Amino acid sequence: MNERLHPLILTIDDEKNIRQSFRLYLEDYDFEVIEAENGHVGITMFEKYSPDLVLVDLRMPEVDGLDVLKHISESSTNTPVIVISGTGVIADAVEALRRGAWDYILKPIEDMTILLHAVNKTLERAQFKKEKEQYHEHLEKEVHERTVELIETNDKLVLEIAQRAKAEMAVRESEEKLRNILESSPFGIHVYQSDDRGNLLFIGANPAADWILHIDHSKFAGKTIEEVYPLFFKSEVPAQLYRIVSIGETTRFEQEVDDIAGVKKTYEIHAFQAADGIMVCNVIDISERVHINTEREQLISILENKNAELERFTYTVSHDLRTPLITIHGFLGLLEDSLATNDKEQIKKCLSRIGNAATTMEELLKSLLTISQVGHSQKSMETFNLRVLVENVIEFFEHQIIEGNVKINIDPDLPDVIADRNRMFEVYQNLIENALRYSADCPNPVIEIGVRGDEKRRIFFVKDNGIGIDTHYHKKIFRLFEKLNKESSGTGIGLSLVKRIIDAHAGTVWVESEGVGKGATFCFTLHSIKEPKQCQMTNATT
Amino acid sequence: MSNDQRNNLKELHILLVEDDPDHAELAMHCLRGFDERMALFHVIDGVDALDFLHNRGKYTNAEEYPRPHFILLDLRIPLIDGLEVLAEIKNTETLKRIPVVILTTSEAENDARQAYDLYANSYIVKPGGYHELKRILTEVCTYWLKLNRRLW
Repeated sequence: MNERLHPLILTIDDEKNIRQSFRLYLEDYDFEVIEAENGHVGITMFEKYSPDLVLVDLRMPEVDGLDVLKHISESSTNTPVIVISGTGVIADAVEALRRGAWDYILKPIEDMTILLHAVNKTLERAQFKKEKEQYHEHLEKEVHERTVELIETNDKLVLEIAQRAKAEMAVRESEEKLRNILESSPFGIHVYQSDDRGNLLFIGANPAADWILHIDHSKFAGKTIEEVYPLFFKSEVPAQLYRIVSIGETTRFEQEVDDIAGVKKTYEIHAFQAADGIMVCNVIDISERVHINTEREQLISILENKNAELERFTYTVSHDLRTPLITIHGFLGLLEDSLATNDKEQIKKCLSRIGNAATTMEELLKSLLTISQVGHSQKSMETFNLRVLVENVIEFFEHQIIEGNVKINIDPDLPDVIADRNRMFEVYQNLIENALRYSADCPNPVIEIGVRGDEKRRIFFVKDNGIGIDTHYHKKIFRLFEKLNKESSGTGIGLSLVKRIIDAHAGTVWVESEGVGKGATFCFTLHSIKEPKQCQMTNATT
Repeated sequence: MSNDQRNNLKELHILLVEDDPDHAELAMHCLRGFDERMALFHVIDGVDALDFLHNRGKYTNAEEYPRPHFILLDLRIPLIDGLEVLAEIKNTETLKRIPVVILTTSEAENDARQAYDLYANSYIVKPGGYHELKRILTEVCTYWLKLNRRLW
């Protein structure tokens, strides 16, 4: 409805004077009034001017008031209609109200204020209705908009819920995967979190950590690292982890500790900060690797020693075999000269020297053969009684002992040993022969053969009260073909043979003597007494 | 004859350190008649060699056992090894100028290197034959006793 300054009233009546009286009266009250003389014109004007109120007479020829009312009601505008009805036909007014008229006025109108009152009241009602409708309309619109918004929000929510569910599923799957990886990892994995006081609290570990460290970690959740790993407590592990927490870098180190069973273990530890305050610690047991490395280094060292020994041996052999050769060659040249001058004395001397040198060479070669066979002695390890063996050796020297009036003391407690019996015979043969030789010129020679030390390290010895040996030569005497006294008999192979045999038994041989004139004690150990199999592994040159 | 009183009259002295009696005899044979003024002293081990040079033990008499003009030193000798003897000579103020000629059976490079590192004046490997030995020893004696300027 147009907003007019003055409300526009259309009055439809076939009686001109009534129309005019309405108009004149209403204009006095600031209404604008247009007139239509019949229903037909009235409808046309209604269409044309859209009045704010329509006054219509019910009884008109052709198109009557009810027709107009019908038209206006159907025009869907809410224009209020007041019908004017004759007093005699009140039923018409009732019918009009039923059809949508807002009010009625009875003709003849005795007091025009009734008209004014009816008009004002109806306009007020129309205004109120309009506002109500507008408000209603607004409400509906609002409700509609809200509904749309709600639907949209709802759609969004539904979508979001679906996405979240999907994401949660993905997270669960990825967590599952991660857990599977952690649990099937062969590396021990610990997770710690640092609390407000800076303590590292144990959160969890994977099954590998359980069996690598032999600890059931399940009961440790929430405890500090020191409580969880008493083994590592004294190691540098906690300090390292605290350091990483404070500076956030990754570290790798090896830690050697005794495990719960007291076995020495080496662990490789990788530690890093996975998130703020979350520490991850990977533990790998590398004991086996470390052990193998150590063993390999030991083997290398043994081989190097063997090799060095072999080099010394080759050197000695080439030197000592060359010596008689040079003698032979030298005296052959001299022999040639002597033949030229026919110096018979000289010829004899040369021949004798050449013969002796040849004998020396032969002895050297025999000794070499003997010594080279010692290396194979491990094959014939057996258990036998050492006292019985020593007694057999003594029988071998019986003649010399009686002749030299040598007193022999054999310890009756000489034990059973696991060794190469023939080689041990040679050891005692050489040591006793040496003792006899170097105590031969002493008064009251005594040779003592015994054992000292404890179960762990038995020291076997052959002791004499002979000429003794200067400390300076204590090591030298065991070298191949080494003789302190050039005039003494033998090739100088005896003690080096003893050393080789003892070496092959993983033992050690040495001499004790306080010096010249104070006798000598030759001592040796046999590591093979308890573990004969290890003798091949142990350092041969000690 | 080597340690005989007459040696004192002679001016050229050689110390032979050799444990093998045959080799010593051959060496002495080779040098017999080299020079009337020459005297050869023979010791058989490292201890005796150093005692001789320091004039101690049985060699206290410095007139009887004079400072040699050069030393023929074998490496593999009893008691004190040839290289040890060499080291002591070269580390001793009163002995270090005595030329030391190593005369050994060892052809080992390592031995020669060690000897030279210890300031050996010469390193000679004993040859196979008598005549070759004689030639070498004669040359060595000529070189050290006659060719070189001597300090005493």
